Amino acid sequence: MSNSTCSKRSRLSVVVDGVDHIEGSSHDNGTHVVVEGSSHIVAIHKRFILERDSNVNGKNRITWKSTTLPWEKFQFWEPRIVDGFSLYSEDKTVENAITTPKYSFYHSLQYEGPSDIDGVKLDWQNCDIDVSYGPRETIVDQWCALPEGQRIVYGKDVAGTRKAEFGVFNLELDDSIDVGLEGIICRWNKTGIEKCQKGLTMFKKAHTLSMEKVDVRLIEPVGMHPTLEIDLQEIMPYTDKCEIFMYLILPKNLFIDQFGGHMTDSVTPLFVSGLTDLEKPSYQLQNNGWGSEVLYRLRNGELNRIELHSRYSEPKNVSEQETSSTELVKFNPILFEACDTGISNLFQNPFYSKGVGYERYFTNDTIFHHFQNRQIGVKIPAARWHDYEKTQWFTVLCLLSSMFYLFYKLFSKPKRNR
Amino acid sequence: MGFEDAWLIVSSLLLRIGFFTFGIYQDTHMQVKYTDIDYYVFHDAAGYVFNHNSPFLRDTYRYTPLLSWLLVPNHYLGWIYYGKLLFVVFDLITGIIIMKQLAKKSKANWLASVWLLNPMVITISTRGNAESVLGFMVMLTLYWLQKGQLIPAGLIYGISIHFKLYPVIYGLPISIYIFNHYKGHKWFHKLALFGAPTLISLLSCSIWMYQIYGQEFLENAYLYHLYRTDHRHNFSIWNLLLYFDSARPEKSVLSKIAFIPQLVITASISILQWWNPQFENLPCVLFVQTFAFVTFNKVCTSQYFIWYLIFLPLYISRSNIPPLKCVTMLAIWGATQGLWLLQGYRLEFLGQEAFFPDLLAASGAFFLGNVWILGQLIEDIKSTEHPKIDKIKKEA
Repeated sequence: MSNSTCSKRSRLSVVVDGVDHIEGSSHDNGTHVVVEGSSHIVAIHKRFILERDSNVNGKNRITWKSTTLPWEKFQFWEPRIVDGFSLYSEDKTVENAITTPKYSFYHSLQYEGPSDIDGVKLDWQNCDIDVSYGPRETIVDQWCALPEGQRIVYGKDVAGTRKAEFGVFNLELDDSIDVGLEGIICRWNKTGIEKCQKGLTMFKKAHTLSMEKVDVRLIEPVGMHPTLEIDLQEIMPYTDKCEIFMYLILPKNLFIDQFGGHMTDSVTPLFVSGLTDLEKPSYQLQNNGWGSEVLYRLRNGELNRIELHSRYSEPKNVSEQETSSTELVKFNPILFEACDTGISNLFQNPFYSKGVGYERYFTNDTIFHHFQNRQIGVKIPAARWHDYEKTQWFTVLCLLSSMFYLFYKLFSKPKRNR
Repeated sequence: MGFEDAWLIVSSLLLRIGFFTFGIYQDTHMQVKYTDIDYYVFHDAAGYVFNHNSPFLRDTYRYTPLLSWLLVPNHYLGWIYYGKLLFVVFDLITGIIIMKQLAKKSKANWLASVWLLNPMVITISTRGNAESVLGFMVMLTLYWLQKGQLIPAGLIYGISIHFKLYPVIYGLPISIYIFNHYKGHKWFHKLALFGAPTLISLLSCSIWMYQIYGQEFLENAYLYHLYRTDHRHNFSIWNLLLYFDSARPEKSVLSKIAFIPQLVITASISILQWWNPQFENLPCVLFVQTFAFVTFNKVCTSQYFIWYLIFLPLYISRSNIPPLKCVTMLAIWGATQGLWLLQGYRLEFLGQEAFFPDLLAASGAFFLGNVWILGQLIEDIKSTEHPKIDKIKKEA
């Protein structure tokens, strides 16, 4: 996906937890800004825009959401991207990807993206990442924490860019949709930092954190047909233009029966993409894709149930002494209320642009109010390879003894009852 | 038809209506649904047919398209339960055919009630299991054979094979019966009168379906059943081994020859018809043969039990098994099944690691219990010249 570039633009933004900390969070020497990690630094955002001198057909996007960075802390300027590594492509030939109604989609819990893009380092260990490959430019966004002991040195030469900008802000406003960042913005000229001046950035965010708590849990006992229960009985819609949805990225060990609407009170999915086979075990689907993508529209004011099914897991190579051979499969449901707003500038703000993953299934003016939820883990029992030989012997013995017995019964002299 | 016959049929009908109605109530009001999961497969497949598509667009539809055609009125009428009602009708007619075959026996209605009033049978058809359609065809084949109407018997037998393949195992005992029955009276001509219509109806249905649905019909309705190795837990003794082998790059030799014990035993049981060529013995042989087929099958679920249960009233009518042994056989069948169901429940609904040795041992117990029962049934058929029930009649 890399292509020759002619120039770069970059911006480093820092948010601190109070106006008093704006001044002290960074210092400069005329050419470089140094930001020292501290407890007052809420988050940093790094953006690089790589301009190309050639056209690239099609759009691709890479996202990475680290499980160590809580989105709730960054929600004022970060979209709620899917946990793990995702590659969304208009190219249908991506290896092991699934085809969804909107894109070809590859997903993994491990980071599988590049370590840098045209010299821009992708710091997947400390940041959430969104790389958007467009026809004329590539936009790299990284949202990171800066813990104590770490520092960032930023300057035009460090970034190797044509245009550089640095801002340190206090989060002045963060209501349901509007965000206001007030602080200092510095720009570079050819020789060094040109000037720093006070600035205020106002924008509308498309992803917010809902204050309401929704209980999402697995009904016990879990078994091979885990049922997710989402309690929306106490939840009132934000406006009458809002509906609650659940978006699932399921590994291949779990699947949704897209025909299963009749069988239970489960909510019927709006669509299921990817591995929809109802019978195959996970180990026979190695080259068919990584799993499935499912979107549900939930029922407001009700207890919603979503029935999943476990695929059989490959027998495990564990020692005879080990008592457990279950496979723990984890996934992170994304539960949100999607509301039509009629606001035209929701699609883009200085820190992200929409149109990634599940956002594609909604209109551009949709705002997503996310409910806090947790990772779900399902244990799938598996056989143990060291029982294989014993199973073979047992089966053979049962079959041979029964065949001898039945032949004896068939061909021995009959006992007369009368 | 006497008063008792009518009473039995009316009671059977009422019972079925009761189960059917309760099923609708349970489906509407309770979390655990009454309707069989397979019924929704048939229903969805019929929906595709209704919309001029292939029933095989429905995942896991592995049957003849004719079955989905039967359920098209579900969508035409907008009533999902139409198909169930149809299955109940087939189930009831099967019972009436059983009654007719038992007509000359004493306690005929008692015996027929083993099918007609059997809650297991009623539950299976009212939950929407299509086995009643097959049961009807197999029983009609026997009825026409008994009446000497070989051509219609052959035609319906061919359709039954087209529907579910496994009735092909009845070909050998039925041929032995025809050979012995018409020995010295152009037996080959009679055999052809049965065999040719069988082939004609089987091939006609298959070619017709192939012309409409092509390779996907062959793949799903026929070939799948030949090469399927179901890794998911079921009663079969083969189950755990097949699960292991499904995860290996190459199957074990044992898995590859899994059909041989089944084939050998099922075919060998036909000799019981040779030794006792009466027509009355034929349903008994078919009962034992089906029982063996299901016992040795690579996949075995509860719905397969209905395959042999249809012959049970006819079998009992000739059986000499003492009551105590009957109870023991039933107890072993029930207890080993219960033992397996407990392990299956632990694995499927509690998510416990119950594969080895629990589930394997339970499958083994059920298998060996079934084999012991088979042994008793074989012994019973061999020792039966005159059924005890007729002896009682004579004594009376």
